[in-house]
Amino acid sequence: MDKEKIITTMDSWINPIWLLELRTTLRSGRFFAAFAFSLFLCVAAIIFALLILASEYRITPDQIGKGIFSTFFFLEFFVLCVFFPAFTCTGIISEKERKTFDLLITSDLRPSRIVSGKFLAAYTYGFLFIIASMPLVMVAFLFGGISVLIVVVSYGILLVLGMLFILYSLWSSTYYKSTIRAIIGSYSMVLTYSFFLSFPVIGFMMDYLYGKQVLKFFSKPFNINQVMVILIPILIIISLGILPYLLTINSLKPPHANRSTSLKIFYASSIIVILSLFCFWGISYLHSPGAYYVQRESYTLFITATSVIAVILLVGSVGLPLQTKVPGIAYVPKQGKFPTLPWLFAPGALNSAVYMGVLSLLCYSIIFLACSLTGFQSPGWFRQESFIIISLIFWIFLLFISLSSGYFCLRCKTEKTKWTATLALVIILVVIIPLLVPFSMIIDNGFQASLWNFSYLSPILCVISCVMQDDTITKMNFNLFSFIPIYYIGILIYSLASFFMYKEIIPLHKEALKRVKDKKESLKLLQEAKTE
Amino acid sequence: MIRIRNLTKKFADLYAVKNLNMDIRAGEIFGFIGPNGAGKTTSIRMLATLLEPDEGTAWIDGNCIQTQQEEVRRKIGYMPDYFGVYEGVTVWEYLDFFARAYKVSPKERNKIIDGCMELTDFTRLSSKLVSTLSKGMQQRLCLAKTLLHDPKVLILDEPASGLDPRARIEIRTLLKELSNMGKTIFLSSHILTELADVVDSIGIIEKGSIIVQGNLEEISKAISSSASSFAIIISLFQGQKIEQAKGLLENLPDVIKSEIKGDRLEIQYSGKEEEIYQIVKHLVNNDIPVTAMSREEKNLEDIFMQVTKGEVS
Ligand SMILES: Nc1ncnc2c1ncn2[C@@H]1O[C@H](COP(=O)(O)OP(=O)(O)OP(=O)(O)O)[C@@H](O)[C@H]1O
Ligand SMILES: [Mg+2]
Repeated sequence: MDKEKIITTMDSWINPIWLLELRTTLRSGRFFAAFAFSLFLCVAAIIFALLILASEYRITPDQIGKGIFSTFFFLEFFVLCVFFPAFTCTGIISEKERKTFDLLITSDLRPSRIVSGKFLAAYTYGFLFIIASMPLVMVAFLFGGISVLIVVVSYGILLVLGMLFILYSLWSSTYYKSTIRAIIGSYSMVLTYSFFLSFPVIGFMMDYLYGKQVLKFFSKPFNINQVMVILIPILIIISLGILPYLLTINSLKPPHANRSTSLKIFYASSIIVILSLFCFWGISYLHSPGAYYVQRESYTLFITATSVIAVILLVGSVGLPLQTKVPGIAYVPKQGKFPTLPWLFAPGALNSAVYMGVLSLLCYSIIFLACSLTGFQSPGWFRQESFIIISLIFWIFLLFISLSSGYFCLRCKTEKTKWTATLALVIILVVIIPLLVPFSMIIDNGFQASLWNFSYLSPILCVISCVMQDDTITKMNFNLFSFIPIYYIGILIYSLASFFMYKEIIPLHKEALKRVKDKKESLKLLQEAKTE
Repeated sequence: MIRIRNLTKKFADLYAVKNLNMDIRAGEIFGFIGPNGAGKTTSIRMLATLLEPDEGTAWIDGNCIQTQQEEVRRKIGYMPDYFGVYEGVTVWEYLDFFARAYKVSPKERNKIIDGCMELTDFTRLSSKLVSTLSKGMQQRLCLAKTLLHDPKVLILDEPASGLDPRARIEIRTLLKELSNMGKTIFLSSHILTELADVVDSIGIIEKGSIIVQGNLEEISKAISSSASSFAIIISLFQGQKIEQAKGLLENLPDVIKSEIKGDRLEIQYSGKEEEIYQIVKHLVNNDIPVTAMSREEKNLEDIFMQVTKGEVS
């Protein structure tokens, strides 16, 4: 290749937004001040930790090294939560407030390039912050007790978390309509995330420094569980990161063009979630008998994965159909690309929900079949068919939610009403009903309790009662007829509700379709008139 | 080049733009004129693919603004009415950013940026911070930015607002130059006279609908011929006998109104053109010292005032 061609290609890799952001921010005094402040914080914390550790009686250098390293690590985690959102949370809203957004969006930059430019810029500053602290942490090496591996891994964790935080802040900067709200939104999002993520991260650190269970697990000869334990968090993180990224891109596109992205979001996240569930299955069924804690961990991971699915599917099926005026149009897959089966014509993300549901049901059936054929025993707290029941519960619930959001979509006049109605429905079903359960059990501790507490309407309670097969409470008190588990009642009721909702929607949907068709036809006529 | 059909945009109950139909030929300078709130910015934002029309559509160089947005964006250079600039970048870096954003090839990029800076007179200011430029200079910079990717169509929303008289003249010569280079220019303004000597054709919009549209001369001719009366100004030597003249003229059948303005008499005449001389004859016969007489020509301002009602939608 000749030199010029190389230069041209390399030049086209440079993201203009990234370049512009670097030019503007790295020149500003504010960045320099924040940078100096974070370094100062690191130095101060390490000196402070040294002082405290040195004053302790009978401490080995080993422990000093570990102490310094963990102090430093949590400090960096704090820096991550405070500074990373600050770089991005004004990213796109500030362009709008500064009135530079129109010029940006009418240029030849695709939304994905804008988003990745903003992301890269913020990540570059963040990277500078994190890397600049590296020489300081080397102080810990003077005392020993840590290894190169832990430094590399913990920096890896920090960088991955930083990526997530930036993506969420960026999304918040497109979602909110004012800078102040975007800042509040992104900080609350990041703080919530860091709260939940800090448990596994701290657990990992402590385990490495003091317990070394994980290390022992990984130092064994290669087995499939090691890969699974690494793979699941990675998949979860990817699915967590892909969602805000795609949503940000989506919000920069005009409404009629964001169909494909919504579909992509949905399929990408559902595939990732299915994959991680498969991995979970791999761990729980193929685990080696000795590694008990892996089983326990896999249970935690399963719960995490399930909640991630729940969130993603909810966003996928509730959030997105609300963005388009005629959801049926937006989500009917193109002919040729996807099979247009008879059920692929309802409104909302219904198609996707159905697709997802069928896929997961299929997966679980295969698992079930494989298990019963090979005579695999489940590891105790779980029955194999629970998988199928859980996926059925989720599926039917999502079907119902997406149908009702589609209904709101067609019926409500303003975007706000749609959101409020759907959110209210979700909150009532997911949060309020489980909260009501203890009350109604106190009120009449008997047979009719289930009529009062509607526990079968809550997908979460259904899942819990399905998982805890032996629990007498779930079996007896929640039940209208003690011999029918509540999850079957839940599934039945949601199927009926979905069916009626569906019948209600069809005429509305046809009307909407007709409107769009008319518009398209008038466009076509105009086009013909033009060519003449 | 630009073809607009039934373009309609509604905000709540208000039609900001209603059934707009227009054809603008290649190489033309089109002036889009209307009072505040007429719907100019709304139409322009739809053409620039920033707003989705509720009904109808438009084609720019054969590309539909609804279905072929990326092509449209590549074809047009858009300058909004209000825009901001990035802080902390220099003029050159600002232009470099947009050149990259429009995928100008790296080999030609510097040359093109220099060319644009020369055209808009920025060569000496290339290392000045954009945020320190005055409003007028920023406007010119934005114009320079729209030229970077050599668009066929320029869509400018009030390019001359906020400029001093000299800058206005400069921008007009610049527009003419660009038009000579073969670009189609679509620009909006409140002020018709400001555009009079650059535009080839105009469209006057009010309350979202086009009122008058077409070639400038045709429009002014059509309006003045349809007018039922015109103004005549008669100057008297040092204003002598002006009261007497007024009285005389008021007795003539075709004079609707007469008014004294200093040493001049202004009358509204509704008679035939070929009988104007009768007025002079009448005055001279009565010994009034007429020094000059002139027909008040309809200018663009009057056309504008006549066709628009000044109601805000
Ligand atoms: N985002 C919006 N929401 C609601 N109404 C709007 C919006 N944008 C414009 N309008 C209304 O549409 C009408 C047309 O506005 P537009 O900005 O197109 O006028 P204009 O001709 O550009 O006026 P000006 O000369 O003041 O720039 C106005 O009545 C305005 O109130
Ligand atoms: Mg305007």
